[in-house]
Amino acid sequence: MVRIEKFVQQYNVPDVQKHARKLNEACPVARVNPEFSPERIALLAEEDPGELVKSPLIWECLTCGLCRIVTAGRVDMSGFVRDLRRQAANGGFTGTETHGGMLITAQRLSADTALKPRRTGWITPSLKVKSRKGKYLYWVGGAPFLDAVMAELKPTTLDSARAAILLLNRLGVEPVVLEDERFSGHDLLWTGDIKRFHKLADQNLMAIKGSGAKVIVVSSPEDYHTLAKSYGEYCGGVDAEVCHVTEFIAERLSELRFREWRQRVAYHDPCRLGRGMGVYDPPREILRAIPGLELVEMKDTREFSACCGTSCWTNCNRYSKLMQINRLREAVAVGAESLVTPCWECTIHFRCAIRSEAWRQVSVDVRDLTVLAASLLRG
Amino acid sequence: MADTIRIKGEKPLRIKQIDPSPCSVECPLGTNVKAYVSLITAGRFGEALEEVRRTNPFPGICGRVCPHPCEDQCLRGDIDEPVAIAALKRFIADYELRRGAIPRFERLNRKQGTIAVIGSGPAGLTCAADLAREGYRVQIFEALAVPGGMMAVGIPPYRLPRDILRAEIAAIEALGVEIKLNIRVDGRPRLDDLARKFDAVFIATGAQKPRTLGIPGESEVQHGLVNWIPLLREVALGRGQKPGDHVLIVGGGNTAVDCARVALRLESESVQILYRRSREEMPAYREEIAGAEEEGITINFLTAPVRLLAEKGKLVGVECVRMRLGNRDRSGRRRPIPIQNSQFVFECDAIIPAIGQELDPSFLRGTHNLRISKEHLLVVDRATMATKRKGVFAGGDAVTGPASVVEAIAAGHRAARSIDRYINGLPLKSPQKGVRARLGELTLEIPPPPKRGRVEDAQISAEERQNSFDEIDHGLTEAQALTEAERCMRCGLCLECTTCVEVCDGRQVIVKPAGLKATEMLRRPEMLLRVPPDVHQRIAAQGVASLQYRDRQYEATVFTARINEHLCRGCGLCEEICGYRAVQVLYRGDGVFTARVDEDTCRGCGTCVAVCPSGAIDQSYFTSQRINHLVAATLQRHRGSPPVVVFACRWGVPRKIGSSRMPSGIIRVMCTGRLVGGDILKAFEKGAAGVLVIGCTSDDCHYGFGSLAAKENLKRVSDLLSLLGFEPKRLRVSTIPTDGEAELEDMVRGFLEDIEKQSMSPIGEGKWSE
Repeated sequence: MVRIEKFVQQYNVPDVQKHARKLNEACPVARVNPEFSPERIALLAEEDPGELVKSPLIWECLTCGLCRIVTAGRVDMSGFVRDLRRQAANGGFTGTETHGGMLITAQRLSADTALKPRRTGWITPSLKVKSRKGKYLYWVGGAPFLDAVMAELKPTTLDSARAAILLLNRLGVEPVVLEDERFSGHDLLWTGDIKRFHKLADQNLMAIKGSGAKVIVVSSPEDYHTLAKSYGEYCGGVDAEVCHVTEFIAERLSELRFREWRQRVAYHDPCRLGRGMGVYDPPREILRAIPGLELVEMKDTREFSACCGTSCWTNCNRYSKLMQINRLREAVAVGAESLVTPCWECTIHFRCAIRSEAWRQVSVDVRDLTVLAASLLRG
Repeated sequence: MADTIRIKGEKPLRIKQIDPSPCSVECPLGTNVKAYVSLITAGRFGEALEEVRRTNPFPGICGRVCPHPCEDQCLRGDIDEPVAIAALKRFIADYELRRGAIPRFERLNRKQGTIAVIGSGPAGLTCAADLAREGYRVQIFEALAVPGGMMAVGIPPYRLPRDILRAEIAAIEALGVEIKLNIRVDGRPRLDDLARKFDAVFIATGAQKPRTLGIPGESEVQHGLVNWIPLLREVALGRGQKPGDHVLIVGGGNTAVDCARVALRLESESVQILYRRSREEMPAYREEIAGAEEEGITINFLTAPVRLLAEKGKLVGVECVRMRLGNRDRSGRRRPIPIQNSQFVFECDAIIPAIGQELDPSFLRGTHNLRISKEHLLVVDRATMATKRKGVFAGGDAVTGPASVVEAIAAGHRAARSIDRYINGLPLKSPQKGVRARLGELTLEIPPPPKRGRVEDAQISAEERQNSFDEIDHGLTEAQALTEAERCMRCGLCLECTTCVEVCDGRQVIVKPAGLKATEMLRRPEMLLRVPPDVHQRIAAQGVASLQYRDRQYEATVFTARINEHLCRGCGLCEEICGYRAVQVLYRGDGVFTARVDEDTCRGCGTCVAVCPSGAIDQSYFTSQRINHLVAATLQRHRGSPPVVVFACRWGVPRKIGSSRMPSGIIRVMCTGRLVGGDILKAFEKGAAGVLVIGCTSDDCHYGFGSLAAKENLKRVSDLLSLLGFEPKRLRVSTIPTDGEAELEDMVRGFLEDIEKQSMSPIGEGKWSE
């Protein structure tokens, strides 16, 4: 017998009815998938919770957090879905893993204490890093794994990690990069595997403590959200300041010089960075610091930013693709030549959508913000 | 296109067979020459003609008037003479007609839409035929009173008899194509009207305006300056009148020669041709030039007209000048330069300039919005035949300037494809990349064939010809055709015998004893059974079909790929990887692209499954669920030896593995390309200490591309395992030669021993340590 009343109350799901029309119109998934809406989830939660837990609806939700914004902070649909997915996964109901389940399985495997990760081979000699102890720590996250699975889309995720370290070096910081860092656990937490999430968190917290780091710089918005927020919510928190690489750089922009680059650029707010952590301006400040760059805002921007369409390597389908294309069209609509974002996953999803032969009609470059900034460094 | 055939004496001939055959490559239509010539040698004339009709709707015409570039590439020409490909094509077309058989085209589809074609020349007719075969309604608007364009009014009857022309056009009309004669599209209707009323318009009006001489005196001549287009047209309509008694034709192309030979037949007393370059540069067909000279027509080379002389408006002579050849110009030909003080006068009462054609744009009245080049031809995108104006396409001479019939046919095909895509809202440039399998080159040593020249078909004698418009060439007799076709050397590695199609296991199903559990299949290979296509379809529809054989019950299933459209992103990775082109991405409207599997073509290798990022494709029988189930089962039964999963492909490891010293079975797939990286990782997650994948080498791979795809997939897994901290030895990918059964046991046992030696502690909750 599935009991979900406490979640229903905790996340104010009944309030969905009051804001149903607004929610259904704003939801990026509902805009493209006729069988999905926040209202449906709420109705099913009330009428047939057993069915809801077994339903693909809770896996089609992107947990993007827009529901909270649209209801002025009342309805936390993403929290609701996250906790429902735990129930579902316990009962053997899961979403459809993408890429044959390679990435999620790798995350599960990395939780195993018996395995010792070997993951710093990507660091080139020109990058200055420390391997054991230091004040600053750069969190690599899943970048080496993303490259192992999809290295066709260049520049790759590891190129972004290298760019981040380059920028840190330029600012006089030599960060620690841990050999035994494991996945932060974001995807496992949000797909219902709380047990392994805890295992990963425990091992990561130990490793961070062992490094003595006081400041942790993170590139991936999901890892940032996990280390800075979720670890605190679930297991005791990181005993260090956690910040996003764009925040770190934006505070020190006076120390950096950029070459001129004349382009019209639209900035895409990743869900976990914008709505998730409230970081909207630092990335924009970095872009504005580049001479010649013209920054434009898309229609759904800042806290209303439209999710890139795929989350946690789960349930990627034709609707995800439509969401990606719609977002790219928003960039085209404001005349942008490039869509820039600091999120690794968003970058991969947008590029994947463009990659398909049949969509040559969308011509906008998708760029990683860190790579862009590093490539334009002067002096 | 290297051809290093040496032609000497009694030594064996080393022939480099190149695939595909040079004749087909050179043909603007890509007609399968080797196929139809081979069919002729077998006496299968009807099938040979069908083969030609797949690309060429006018075999009888092309067999007579095509410049046959294929013959220029024919490798037989390096031994003695090229095979008479065009004559053979003519033979089979005539054979059909003589037997009273009517040329027929099959309808392929029932699509909705209307198309207007302007011009009933070869480009227009071909485009119309292709579209009509798809089910569209096509109307052709022809300005003249006869259909056929230049085939009817540009090529004289002695080269192309009218009944052949009529029959081949009738075949197109039989598809429902309506040819409206005597309608010039310059008033009612106009191009704009057609563009409005029809879903698409194809402009194929040809280049019907002759270029003028541009010399002084032209404007003074009222009688004697003859436009060749109406001249040949009237001849075609049986109303030819002689242009004059002493006729001069200016030009060196087929048109000039045609005009000269026509003037002769219309009883002009003397007919001469003026050409400003030499014999070597003269572009008309060699046969035509020879035929003309045999008939008594003089060709004055290196001569050009400079002034027309008229008395009271009547032409009396042409002042000419001798030329010499200078350096080459842009076309690669040497430039003619007038020789000073070499003027002389030709007396004549008619002059026919045949120096080129351009588009007559008078029908494009109003705001047609089409681009016209400075050579006065229509501008289109050469790949899609689309003009600037949406829904309006153009092709043939109107775009290229005067060219051959076969090039116009090619344009017609291209336009029809584009129009079909346009009407269905598809992007005009096809997303499919052309795939040409390079099978490589093979050097053969064969005893040199006896040299013998081409068969020459009989012709009407030169004397008789002068007075008649009857067809000059009689064409090959059946005996001659058979002899000539045998000279073809069947270049290329494929003989087009179609045996492979009969033998190919595309229509196979898996048959196993009823009630047999999946895990029981770990020690026995799947049984494959070849069935007719309709049986395959029925089994596919049923899912699992019951069969009875002797007194045992069996179950049959197909093992083709299946797509869950909801999950499909239309990314096209499956389409890229499938070497059979069995899966293609189609547009469903509303911005949605989805892949679709062609059940008839899918060979069941499963490589598309491994490549799909969203898990939208699965394979019947060899489903993801089954594979994961078998992995779990294998790991449960490892009985003391380290838990190891062995995957093998069906072709590399076809037979039973019964030895008790072997691990708990082999998970078989049709091809290692099927193996999904995630499933292999999951095997490790479930407690495998090692995974062994056994497949064929890329040379032996039954499916060709599967082995290479597997290599890439497994490399990714290997990289992930490394990053996670597994020792690389735990995943081994081995290749086995087909039939290497003894090796198989060694391979597996060796792997087990290596895994036992691993010092790394097990993962998971102590699944294996004891």
